[in-house]
Amino acid sequence: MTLDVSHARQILPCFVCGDLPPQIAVQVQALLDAHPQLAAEADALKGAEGACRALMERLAEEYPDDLLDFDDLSLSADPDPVPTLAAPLRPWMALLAAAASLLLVVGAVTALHASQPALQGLPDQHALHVAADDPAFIAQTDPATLGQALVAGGVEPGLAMVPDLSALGLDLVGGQPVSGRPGAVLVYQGQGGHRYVCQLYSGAPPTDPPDAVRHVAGTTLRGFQRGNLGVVVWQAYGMFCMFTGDGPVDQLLAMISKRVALG
Amino acid sequence: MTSAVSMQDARAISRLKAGDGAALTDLWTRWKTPIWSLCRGMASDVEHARELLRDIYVHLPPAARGWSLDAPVCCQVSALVWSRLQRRLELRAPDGIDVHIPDHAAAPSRTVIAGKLAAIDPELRVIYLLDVFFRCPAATLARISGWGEADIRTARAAAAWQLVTVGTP
Repeated sequence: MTLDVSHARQILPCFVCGDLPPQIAVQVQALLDAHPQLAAEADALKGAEGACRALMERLAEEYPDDLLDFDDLSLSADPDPVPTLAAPLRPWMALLAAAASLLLVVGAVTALHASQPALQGLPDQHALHVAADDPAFIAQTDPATLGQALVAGGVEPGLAMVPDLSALGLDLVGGQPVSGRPGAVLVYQGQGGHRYVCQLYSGAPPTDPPDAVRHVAGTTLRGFQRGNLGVVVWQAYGMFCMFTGDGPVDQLLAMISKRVALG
Repeated sequence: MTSAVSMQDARAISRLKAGDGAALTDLWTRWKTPIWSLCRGMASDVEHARELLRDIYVHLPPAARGWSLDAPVCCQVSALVWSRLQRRLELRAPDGIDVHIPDHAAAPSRTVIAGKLAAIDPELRVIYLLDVFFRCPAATLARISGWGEADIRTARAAAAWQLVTVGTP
């Protein structure tokens, strides 16, 4: 089989990472020698790898020192053990265990409330965000460029994945980092200038009981109605999203369901 | 890249299968930084990355006991990391992968690389990062992961070209 430039471009990423059979790699190399443009593309792909490595080396300093060795783990340990019936507790042990459990539950609930954004404050937040007049607001209609700008503004890369909602008739207006906690705010505009806000956070979503629930393509959408404001919350890729817009929550749920179904 | 199992890897895998704790410590020492890089590149923040790392850490001992002598250690670590990230991040196999080869390509600068990486779909980004940090051949990774080799190569290519695309594709 003889390669041409077009075919070589398709397999260039595999050539760059050294994952081609030798007889094919030789042909790609010959094409690189003969075509400077192709060689430049191979250099760009190698450069991207180098940039990734350099980025991760900078982040490697954050490695958690508490995971140093396996002294505390047995090789035979099963991380997902099947629950078994415990031996019966003596009365005084049961009392202590109950007290400890209660403390844990109270602590956990307190921590949850402290760490979650309050849904009751969302109407005010929504109004502020749609105005898009905060000095930190980045007016940018291209999702990829806004993602880069958010990262440059301090948003964690995983939270700077700006969705393109044009399939829903929503145009990106811009966004901004959330102050005081890891997160990003995105503002979209639909027909008639109607604006929607998408807030992205890491961690666990609010635990308020929802007014409506939909399950779409393996994703659970939780809907809330706060006055005239509709709120839809769902989890994806280790973060949760809060999508808000004026109007009935059912309308918002239908909109987000369509987006989730599109993948 | 090589799919051959070195004598050193074969010895290490034999020790792991026999439950040798020192072999496990050696394995973690060797691979914890690349694993951390993967977690950091896939997580929403440092704390989330720590959760992912701890999950892999906890699942490594039982997984290593079942490792095959037919695949290099780097590939078996790679497959475990991929499997755990898929489960924890709810990554799905894409229905179809579009590879867009740009008219103009350039290596991303240090200032934009994080944003460009974040813009790649996580299902594809994980494969690209596995490639960068573990160097496991697509054929071997396909054999031990259950994915198709062509899908892995396509995912790798789609992510790589997206990183070097100049402007909006």
